[in-house]
This record gives sequence, structure tokens and C-alpha cells, in this order.
Amino acid sequence: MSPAPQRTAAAERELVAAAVAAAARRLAGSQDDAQVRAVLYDEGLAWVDFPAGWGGLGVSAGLRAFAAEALAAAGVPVPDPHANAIGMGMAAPTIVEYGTDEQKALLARIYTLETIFCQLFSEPGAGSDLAAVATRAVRSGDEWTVNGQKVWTSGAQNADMAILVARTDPTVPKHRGLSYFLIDMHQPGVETRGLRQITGESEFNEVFLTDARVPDAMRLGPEGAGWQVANTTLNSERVSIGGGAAREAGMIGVVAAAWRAHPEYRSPAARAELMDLWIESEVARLAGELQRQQAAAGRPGPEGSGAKISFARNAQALSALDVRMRGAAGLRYDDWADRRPEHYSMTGRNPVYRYLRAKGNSIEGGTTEIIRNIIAERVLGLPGEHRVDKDIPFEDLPR
Amino acid sequence: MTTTDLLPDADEEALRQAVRALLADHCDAPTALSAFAQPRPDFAALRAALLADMGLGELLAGPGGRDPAGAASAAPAEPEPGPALAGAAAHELGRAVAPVPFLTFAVAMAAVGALGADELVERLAGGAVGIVAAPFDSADLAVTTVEASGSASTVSVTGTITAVPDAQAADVLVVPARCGEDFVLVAVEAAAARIEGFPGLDETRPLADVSFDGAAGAVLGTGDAAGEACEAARLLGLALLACECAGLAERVLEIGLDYIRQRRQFGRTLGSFQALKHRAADAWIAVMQLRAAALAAVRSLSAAPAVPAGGEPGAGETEAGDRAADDPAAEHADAAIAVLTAAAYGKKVAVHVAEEMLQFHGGNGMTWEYPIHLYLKRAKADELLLGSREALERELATIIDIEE
Ligand SMILES: Cc1cc2nc3c(=O)[nH]c(=O)nc-3n(C[C@H](O)[C@H](O)[C@H](O)COP(=O)(O)OP(=O)(O)OC[C@H]3O[C@@H](n4cnc5c(N)ncnc54)[C@H](O)[C@@H]3O)c2cc1C
Repeated sequence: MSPAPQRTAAAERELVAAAVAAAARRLAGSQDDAQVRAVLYDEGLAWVDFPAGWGGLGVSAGLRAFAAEALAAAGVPVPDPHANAIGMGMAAPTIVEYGTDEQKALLARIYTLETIFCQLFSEPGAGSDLAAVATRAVRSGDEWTVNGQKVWTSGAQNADMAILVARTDPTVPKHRGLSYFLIDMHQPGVETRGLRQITGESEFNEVFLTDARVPDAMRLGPEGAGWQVANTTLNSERVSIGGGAAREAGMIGVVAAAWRAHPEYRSPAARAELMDLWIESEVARLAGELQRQQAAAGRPGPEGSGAKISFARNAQALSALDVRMRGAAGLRYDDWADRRPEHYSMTGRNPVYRYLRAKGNSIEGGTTEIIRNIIAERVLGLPGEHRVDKDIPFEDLPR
Repeated sequence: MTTTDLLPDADEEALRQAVRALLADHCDAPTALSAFAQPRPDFAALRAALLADMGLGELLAGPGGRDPAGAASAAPAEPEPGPALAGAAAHELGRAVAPVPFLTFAVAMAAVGALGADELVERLAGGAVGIVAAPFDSADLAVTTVEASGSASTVSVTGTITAVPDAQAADVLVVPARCGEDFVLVAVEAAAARIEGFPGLDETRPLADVSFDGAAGAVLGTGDAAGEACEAARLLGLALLACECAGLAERVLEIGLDYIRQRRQFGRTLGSFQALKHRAADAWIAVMQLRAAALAAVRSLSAAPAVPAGGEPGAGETEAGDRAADDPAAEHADAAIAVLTAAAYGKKVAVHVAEEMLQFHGGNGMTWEYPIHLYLKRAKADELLLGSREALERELATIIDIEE
């Protein structure tokens, strides 16, 4: 890939504006989601920071918000950013960075929702310590055979493909023996079983891989480079989870609305707590806004890494207050049946659901503790964690 | 509410650098610490270098201060750079816990400027120090026990105000007073007041009791105009306080991080212990959020120059389609939300980070020699400046409709 030509921020905005105008012309008022997605991909408005020809315009990532605003202003429906979240937010940025042209052809399919992705990273023995994955991939000719178990896999039941981290060389230390694959979920060697959550429903799964196949052409990045490739995915994941641009967006909006509608929920102590959380939510929003503006001006900062911690803490504290302030009415639940949600919303259903679901916010996508480690080491320059297993071949580690 | 452009512009950046360079030369930690010496130095040279020579006084006068009628009738309203620039300076002064009455001076300048008292504005812009004679923790500058009597333009004032910040540095006191049924703002020469300093928690922003016994004063404004001037001044003060807290917290975090990067115990640097790393990461998140909130606060005032009563805001639609253009009350509420949010958060974060960094220093954190206590003392006192955090949160709650 040749380096993108340096453009001024104004020139980048013009490029985006021109693409938006072209898309609006071609769509001529159509609200059809599939058609809108196809045209937006074609005009480089799927991920504006991706290269031209691959769903983008090669401009800075900070202009994503600008593009969304411009589309809305031009009357083009902005596609739901939560659809195919793992494909859009994790697989795509990794594929665009490491992919062959054949692999990059998936980008259009991801954006148009033809190929839904899930994430086969975590295992019973490898969560925070992702480099400890034990699922084995063994090569024979142009194909890999995969055996192992993954767990907590969100949306596997609806996925067409998965991003997969597997061990390809157990004789070297754990970070060096991994490879990254794009695996077909529709095959006999892949068995998906719902895994029930504390909310009652089965949003995530266990996935058993028994002689599952992946062509070598679907290995993303070099053999043995799975750790580096996976880090691209994880960094994108952490960025895509935090943030939200409008004041009172997210959990604070839900709880503030309940407070306003129900004088009977109010007490001085609860109000002090709610105000503290209102302010915490607002400053987190402003920090996200500053970060976006810095990125748009070509000066990305490390501020984004804190966003997920604040998001999780605020969502948990607010949803906890919401249950408590309602008194016994706050305990009412709708349904403990083991459901398979097609769509879910962290701010949906009822206070009990929101309280329970928010508990996952500080675990999924990297725990709060792990992100604190990352901030301390990469942003603040403090020494790394003590790692006893760093130089020992994976097969010799006690497990 | 519209999306504010939060990024500091080139002028703010240049001023920030200039203030930082000046403080590096003239206001190191031992200088700040000398504020606790007996007798206390008056820091007149440092004050003159910042307010007069560098032009921070002039800057605060602003176009609105100089010519409120003109500012109010110009359409559409130009963003006023004063608050954002003052915020950049306040951030640096907070980093250095500088014993300079910048914030308190800015509050007085804003009140005087809002009333169009040109002569006094000129004098203050030229280096004279003005301070509002109100208690340190006053959440409403128009609440007063001072009595004034006399004609429409000249009065004599009597009364006592306790714990006024920076009063001893004042050349002129701006005194909120009651004149019969009316509220008035009066300018009194500091020489005509009795100003009794007393030791306080934070000697970098020292306290004094101020009393008047029939002192002569010039009326700057009366009634609603004077009340609105007090409110504009308070909001500016709170926005600058947020900036100061952001600078303070940013710097004390740096000091704490430097310490745990170097000090070794148990054969390791302290900074390798996760218990400290996690607290450092949390402090960093808070500091970063505070900086964003403080930038939003000063910008909300830049976008909304305090329009005195009767002033017509610009009729034309501005580029962003500000709803402020059609609704001055909504614009004032937006500014108040931004300022109260930032100030309440700043009061919480500055003291928290200072306390954390003191703990990071172990025994050295308890010594007079290490600068941590300067930050702690300033931050702890700042919890009360221009109203307690609780008072600000109650006020904010009313605006955003989170009623009790
Ligand atoms: C709702 C939900 C959805 C998920 N979806 C997916 C998915 O789609 N795909 C997928 O691959 N995974 C998914 N996960 C798994 C998730 O990524 C892991 O649960 C997470 O990384 C933590 O790993 P673990 O559960 O093994 O916890 P552990 O790593 O065992 O951690 C347990 C506790 O110890 C702490 N801890 C661990 N290491 C350290 C350390 N070095 N320092 C300090 N503290 C530490 C952790 O912070 C945590 O509090 C999901 C999880 C949830 C809750």
C-alpha cells in the first residue's frame, strides 16, 4: 500500500463532503438499508479512514463523526453502527491492516451485512491472558485443521465467520506461537452451544472446534504473528465500545428520565449520587469529544484508552442506583426464560436487566484492571507487569 | 446545545507557553512555598510581571469589558477570546500553584467590565489589582451584609466581610452592598478599608477579613445590572477555577509519577507495583476528563459573552446554527451547565489527585520540603472557593431538572 498523500484537514473534509453528495445523488431518497449500505461502501463512506477502493477515502479516522453528520444532513439514513458490531468494529480494521486482496474482499460483505462475524478469542484457560490460548491449528498443505474450545463468544449463533486466534507452534514462548484466522462458522467441525448469562438469556456461547477447517488463504498476517494481529483487533474493540456524542446519551439518560418522571423515587442522598454520576457522565462525554477533535485535527492522543473504564464505571453505578431508588418496584423483572436475543440494548428492558448486563461492561473487551495496566505502562510509562512465563515454551508452561 | 470546538487555538497555546516560561523563571516551588513564610512576601514583582507586563490584566478587560454597549449590539456576536485565553493562563498558574491573585482579579475585572465602568477597567488593565470583597466560599457574590448610603454615584460603606481571598494584594475593592432596598456594587480604595490577614490552609491564596467604617466609594452599578455583573463574574471565576484545578491536578500527577518511577523498594521501582499503577491510571483518566471539561467551560463563556440586561444577541444564524442565536436564556443555561459541571468536577478531582500523590510519596509526602503539600493545600481550599461542590451541584441540578 503506498502511503496516503498528505492532505490538509480542510481538503479531507471536502473529500468526505463530495462523497456524501455523490451518495445522496445515487440513492435519490432511497431508505432501503441494503441499498444504502452498498452505495456508502462504494463511495468510501463505510469507514472513511480506510483506503480508497476498500470502503474508505483514506482520510483521518476523526472524520467518521463528520461523515455521519454530513450523511444525516443530506437525508441519507446512517446505517445502524451496532449491526455486525464485531465485523465492523474488530474484523474490518484488522483485515484492512493485514489482509490480502482476497481477504479484503470481505470488507464489502461485512459492511453490507452479508457476512456476520463473531470473535473466537477467549478460552476457559485464556481470558485476560489471551496469549495462553490452547486451541491448536495444524497445517497440512493449503489447509489448517483446528481443535479446541472457545467460550463467552457473543453472537456465535448468528455468525457466518469468525476471527480466530489459535496456537500454531507450541514449542516457542506463548506470544510467538499464535496465528490469526478468518474461519467459516458454517461447517460440521464448529459446534455452537448457548451459554446462559446472569440475565437469564444466552447472549454468548461456548464454541467447540473439532477438526474444523480453514484454508491457508484465510490466515490473516504471517504465521506466528497472531499476537500482534490480535492486538490490532483488541485496540479497535476498546475504541469502538466507549463514547457517544450527545449529552445524556446512554445510561445517564435512562436514569435521569426515570428521576424526572417519578417524584416518588427522589431522596436527597439519591440526588447527590445521581448528580455526581451526571457530572461523571458529562465529563466522560467531553473527554471523548476532545479526543475525536484531536484525531480529526491529525493529533490523535491516548485519551481514548480511558473511555471504556469510565463508560463501564458510570453504567454500573447508574444502573445500580436505578434499581435502588425505585424501591421494591425496582426489583420487577420481565422474564427469566433462556432467550436468544437477536438484538440487545444495554439501556433496554428494565432496571434489573440493565444492572445485571452492565456488570459485563468491565469484563468484556478487556477488563478494567487490564486496561489500567495498559494505561499505566503505555501512556504513563510505568514498568511492565512481572511476567514469569514470557520466555518459556508454551508446551512447558504449567497449566 | 451544540458541539463546541474544544481544541485550544494557536493564541491560547502561545499564551500558555509564555506563562509557563515566565513561571519557570520566576515561580518555582520554593517561591510558592515562601508564601507560608513569616512575614509573607507580597510577590509584587511576580504579580506585575504577569498582570501588567504580560498583559493578562488587559486581556481580561476584553472588548465586552471595554465597550459593553458595542459588544451587545454587534450582530452576530463574535466569539470573545478572553475567557479561553484566561483559561490557558489559569491552567499554567494552577500547575505552578502560583501565589498570584489572577483568578480573584479576573472575577473583579469581569464584574467591573460588565458594568461598563471604563475608567476603572483602564486602571485595572494597567496593573492595579481589583478584588471583589466577598467571602472565599461565596456561591452568590450579591449576598452581602455591607451597608451603603449616599447619593446615586457616591456612597459611604460600612460592614465586615470575613475570609476574602487575596484582599491584601488589592489596590481597589469591588464591594457588593445594600443601599436601602437596592443592591449596589461599589468601588472602594483598599487604603480606605481595614484589611486583616490571618493564617489559612492555603497561603498561596491568602485570606483576610475586610471591614469598612464609613469608607468612601464610587457606585459602579445598581439593581439587576449589578446582580448580573456579579453572576457573570462568578461564572468566569468558576470556569477559571476549573482550569486552575486541571493544571494543578495535571502537575501533581506528573510529580507523583516521577517519584514512583525513581524510588525503589523491595528491589523494584515503586511504579511497578500494580496497586500504585492502577491508582495512577485512574488519576490520569480523571485529569484528562477534567481538562476537557475545563476547556468546554471557558469556551461556553467565549461563545456567550455575558450580555448585560437589554442587550440583543445577534440575530443572524451562526455557522453551527447555535440555538443561542434565538434564545439567550438557553445560551446562558448552556454556559452555566458547562461551567458548573467543570467546576464541581475540578473541585473533586484536584483534591483527590493531590491526596493520592501525597500517599505515593510515603514519608516524603509529609515533609515541608517536598512540594506535594502546596498542591494539597490549594486543592483542599479550592473545594470551597466560589461555593462548595455540593452548592454547585445543587445549582446544576435545578438547571438540568434533577430536582430533589
Ligand atoms: C458479556 C461478555 C461478552 C464477551 N464476548 C466475547 C466474545 O465475543 N469473544 C471473546 O473472545 N471473548 C468474549 N468475552 C470474554 C472476555 O474477553 C473475557 O471474559 C475477559 O477478557 C476476561 O477474561 P476471563 O474471563 O478469563 O477473566 P480472568 O482473566 O480470569 O480475570 C479474572 C479477574 O482477574 C483480573 N485479572 C486478570 N489478570 C490480571 C492482571 N494481570 N492484573 C490484574 N488483574 C487481573 C481481571 O481483571 C478479572 O477481574 C466476553 C465476556 C463477556 C462478559
